[in-house]
Amino acid sequence: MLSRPVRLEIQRLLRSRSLIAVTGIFCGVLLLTGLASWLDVRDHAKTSDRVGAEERRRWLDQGTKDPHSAAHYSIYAFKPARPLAVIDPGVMPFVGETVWLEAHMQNDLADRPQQTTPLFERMGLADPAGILQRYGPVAVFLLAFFVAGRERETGVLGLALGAAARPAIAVHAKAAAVTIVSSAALVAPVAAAGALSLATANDATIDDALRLSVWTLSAVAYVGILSAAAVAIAIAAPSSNRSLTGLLFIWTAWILSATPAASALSERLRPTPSFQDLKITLAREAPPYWSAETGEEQVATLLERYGAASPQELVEKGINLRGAQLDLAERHAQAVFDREIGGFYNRVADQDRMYAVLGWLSPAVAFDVVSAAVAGTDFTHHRHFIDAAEQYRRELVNRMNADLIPHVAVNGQEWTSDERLWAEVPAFDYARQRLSDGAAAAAVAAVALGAWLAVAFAGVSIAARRVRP
Amino acid sequence: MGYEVRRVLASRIVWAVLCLNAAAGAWGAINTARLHRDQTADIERLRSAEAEWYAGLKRQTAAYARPAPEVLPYWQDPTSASGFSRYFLRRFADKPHYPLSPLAVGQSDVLPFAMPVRLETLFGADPAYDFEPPRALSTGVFDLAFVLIFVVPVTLGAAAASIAARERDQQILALVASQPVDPRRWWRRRFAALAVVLVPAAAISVVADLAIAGAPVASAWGDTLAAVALVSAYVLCWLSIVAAAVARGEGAVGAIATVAGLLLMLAVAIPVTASAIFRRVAPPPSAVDDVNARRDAVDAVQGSMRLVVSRGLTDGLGARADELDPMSLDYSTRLIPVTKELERRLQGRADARQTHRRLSATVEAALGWVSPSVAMHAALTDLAGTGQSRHQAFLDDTREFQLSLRRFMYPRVLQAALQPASRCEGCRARMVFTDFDAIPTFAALPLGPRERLATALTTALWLLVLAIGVLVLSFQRLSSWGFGNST
Repeated sequence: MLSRPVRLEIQRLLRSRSLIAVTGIFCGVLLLTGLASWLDVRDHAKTSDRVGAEERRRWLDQGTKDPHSAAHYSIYAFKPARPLAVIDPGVMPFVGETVWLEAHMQNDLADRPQQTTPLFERMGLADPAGILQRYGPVAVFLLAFFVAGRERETGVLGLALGAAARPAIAVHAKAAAVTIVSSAALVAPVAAAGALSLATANDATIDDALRLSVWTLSAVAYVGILSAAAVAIAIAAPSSNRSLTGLLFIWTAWILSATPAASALSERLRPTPSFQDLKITLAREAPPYWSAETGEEQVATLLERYGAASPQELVEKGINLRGAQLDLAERHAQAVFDREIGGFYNRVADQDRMYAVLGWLSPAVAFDVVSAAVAGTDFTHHRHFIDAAEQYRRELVNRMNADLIPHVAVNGQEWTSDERLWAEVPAFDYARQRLSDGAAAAAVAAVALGAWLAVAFAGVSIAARRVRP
Repeated sequence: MGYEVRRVLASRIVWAVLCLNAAAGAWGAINTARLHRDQTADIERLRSAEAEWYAGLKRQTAAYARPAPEVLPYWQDPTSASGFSRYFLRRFADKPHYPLSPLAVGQSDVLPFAMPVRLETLFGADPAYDFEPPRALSTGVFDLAFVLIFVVPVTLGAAAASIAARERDQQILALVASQPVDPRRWWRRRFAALAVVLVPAAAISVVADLAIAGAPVASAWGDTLAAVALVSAYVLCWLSIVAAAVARGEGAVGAIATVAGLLLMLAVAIPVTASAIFRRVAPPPSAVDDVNARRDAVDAVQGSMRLVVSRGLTDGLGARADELDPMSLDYSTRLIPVTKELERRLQGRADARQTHRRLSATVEAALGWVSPSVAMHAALTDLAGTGQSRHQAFLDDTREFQLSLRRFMYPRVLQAALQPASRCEGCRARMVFTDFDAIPTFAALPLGPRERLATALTTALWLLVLAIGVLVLSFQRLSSWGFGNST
């Protein structure tokens, strides 16, 4: 019943050269950014894989040395780019991509791509989903204005709906036609870039294909919301002038300003503590090098633990005091990191949850959250990598210390190990988070997106009822 | 003219738009001011922590200057020159905000505002940063610059278009045309009235927004005037585009669509395309490859440690270097020649980064001549002191500071290596280096007002020339009333 009017509306849209030109420009910009983003992600993946293999070789070939020196040498871990970062880089340009997993310290990820770029690169970030979310609505609104606003102005719409057996169907057909054409122009190029990335990635999985499907559905839903809302406004507005002015105001206030405004609001509602304060606390409570006084406390603890009366007796029991001290300090630091750094990241995640809730105020916010979560480029996925890297670091450092503890120094010469020990530490092989685990935090935004879609199409029905011949 | 001005002032949409922009701008400025206030508080926190640290070291030094059965290992002894240089030296470089920093967040949410400086870090400060929630960084902060660049053109453009094209949209332009009025004169007065109301209103609104956010607009009057000039020229530029559209025969809808389309092209399509092309044509040096090169260099230096240290000692001590066995020196002392050698080996990569940074700045400057939106954003961040140009100056100052710290500490460490005896016989600490108050502190050289204001004033002038050019061309071609397209 709906397909014929939809087809007719689409044919009408495609007959307008100026509209084709405008949507074509959007399509071209999205294809260009998708392609640029794919090349960036592909190059980064190649470099990370190559240098990651080099790191493993360096670790194994480091020669004979004190295991604690090996723990300091350690490895660098590189955050692998997710194939779908091509469609939505999310937080990736703003978080580090390398981390040194050395003893004593949970280092921050270093080398944030956006830290060294000029302003115009930030303005022109290769972010197809961002362009679709922020600027795509202009194309959608122009299409909606064309199919509904102009007819409304001339009175043709009133006559057509008056003559229609079921006016709501005719209006819904307009919204559906705008959704289909907008999706073809705005969503398809981005999804194609995502598919290209999956097809050329070495490590793409079924989970990635599922993610791309969900992202495409979400994007179509977002475009559907905008299309229906724009058609409803274009029909309900008293003049085409007010209709287009209203749509532009809506774009500015409800879409373009929505994400930074919601971000600022969530920062107000769920502020994060000072990061410098965190650093000061870490330097105080888990310093990488302990003082003489702390060293004395450590020795007392270890003597009690091993049931020895003096350090000399520990040596006689075959315990390397330095190794045991390193192990004690390391485990103490790990507990501090869990409490302080983990607590800080929990607050960041909490703020992100608040931002997702604000998706109820604007579909742009809801789509922003869902898009990054589904692409695997939000903070939840980033933290998964941080935690995996930290877990690996702890296992590596604890293994090195465990090797040192039962080997006392002989004639002042510290114990050394070789490749046999280094090979016991497996290569850092990061297992990416699956969609079902990683995107759970975005569920509220997904529900909001669905609700916005229902409300928008309900708005079309209401607007249709208000039109008089 | 007076009648036209009164018409503009009587328009509800004008007042609605001005109030909306002022409120949005104030919120944006407050958001930025809050971020910068937090950063300033963090700098104070770091300063207090550093003062506490040195107070603690002085207490430790006093406690260790007593007879004890064992001498501390050098890395636990703050009075050992080499131990201090690696394990106790704490200094940081900070970048205080300019008076009008609430004008634009720029890159100040991404770039570090305080960086620990250590002797052995290669080429300057530690690559530390302040961890802002990354989602907030990706959405961007809702700041005054965002309002000025994106919101103001659309809202003021819509208001101006609806007033300018009212007669045309109400189909009464023919009535006006039947009067003895020259069309050019009529349009000129109309746009002069719009400019007389909207340009000062936008400029005053920005000053009020900054004042609400706590910026010292009166004492920093030079910066404030530059901001006013910049905003006025930018608003005039967009008004000239509305004027051109209306003069061409467009109705309000057409004029608004023109403004939105141009804004998308200038503020989005141009930077996106330029960025995509620039990254392919001149890709930035890979951070991952940097790590690889650094690790290779460290391995190579470790593999030839004796040679590297011995050569470094000869450079620093001359013939007296022969008195030292390179491999018996402690790790901190060996770090002096090792750091120097690593910097020598990795200089090429550091130079490549600098070259790329300079090229980026050149491309950004060139884009500013093509896109008023890019130019406006760059000028606002320069005036606010929140962009890359100021940060680069800060990094250069930080590197200079690191070198001054090295010049202070290295001779003391090498001297202690030549004369390793403790200055406090039988004490727990060596008491070789205790002059903590003499350690240099960081003092960034602030950019002078001329350097700060240069970009803003140049950009304002360029935007003004652009606006006048568009207006002159539009009105020159206006020979009839152009009843044209009403939508």
